[in-house]
Amino acid sequence: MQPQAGSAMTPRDVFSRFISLGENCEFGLVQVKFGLQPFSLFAFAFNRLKGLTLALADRLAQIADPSKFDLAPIGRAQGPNGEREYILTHKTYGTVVHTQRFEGRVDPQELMKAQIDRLSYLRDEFIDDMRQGDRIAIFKSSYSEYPDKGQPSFAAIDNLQQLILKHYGPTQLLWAAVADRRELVGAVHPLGPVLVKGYVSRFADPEDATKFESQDWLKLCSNTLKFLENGRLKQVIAPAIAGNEAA
Amino acid sequence: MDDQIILQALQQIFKEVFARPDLVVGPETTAFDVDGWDSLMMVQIILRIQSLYSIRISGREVQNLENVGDLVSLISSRLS
Repeated sequence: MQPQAGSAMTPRDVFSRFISLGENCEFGLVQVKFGLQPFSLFAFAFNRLKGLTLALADRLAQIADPSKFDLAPIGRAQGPNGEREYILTHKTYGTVVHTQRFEGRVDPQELMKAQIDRLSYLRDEFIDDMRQGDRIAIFKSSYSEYPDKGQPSFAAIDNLQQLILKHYGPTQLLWAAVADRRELVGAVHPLGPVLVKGYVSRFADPEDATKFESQDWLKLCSNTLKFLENGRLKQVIAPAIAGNEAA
Repeated sequence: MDDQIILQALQQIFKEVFARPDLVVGPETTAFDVDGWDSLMMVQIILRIQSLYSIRISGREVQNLENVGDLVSLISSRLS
């Protein structure tokens, strides 16, 4: 049973209601800070919106196909003796996964097999989660689908939400963005039947996703749950799904 | 099934997954106590548990586990 939104919810309860779609591990690390061990496909992966959209449209068919991955020690030299980290890169979706395994200390073939096992399990779990629709998908992005823009367009995010509804289930999407005014931090507002946008004051530096604004995220996620509890989205989610099925 | 028997089975799984014959885990052991216990290792543990007991453990159940004792309780509840 999922904890219901309200004053009795702990921060851990709040964050347990969300599932990260990326774009990087910032939100997964926020969940860790509040006592969760996020166990989901994109919680600790990097993916641009374009690749994520492609992967979801493909129903993640290639996400656990070893022939679609490159595994190479191309990460920063941060091993105990300066070894480089093995990085797993999906050649079609562009998804990048840090392995926390270092050159010379692991058999690459065994590492690849373990990663494929992991991705296969998490893909099935992800699809199940999206189908159940009782968690809220969250996507944050510093990058536009266009090279010259700072953040994604509404059309691109809306397309992502439509893909979720069409191929997976009634999961609502929170689009996290950086506020351009202080009073917007933590605020959330609807952009469509099952899509809301909310704000934090800043994202963590992509080079160090551990330096996030935890209270901003807590405020944003708490407000999102309160917003949803009011039923404003629930009232329209069923017709939206019915519309997609009829299309 | 007795929780102690489940814990012994988990002990063996942990030793094999982490390739550390000297590894000792108990009910209070958390991911922070075992070097290298990340999501990659957790999936290996879960897959072995699923195979051993013919049960399914979901990702959201894993997310809510706080220690090995919780994992023992989860398995026990599935087997009862």
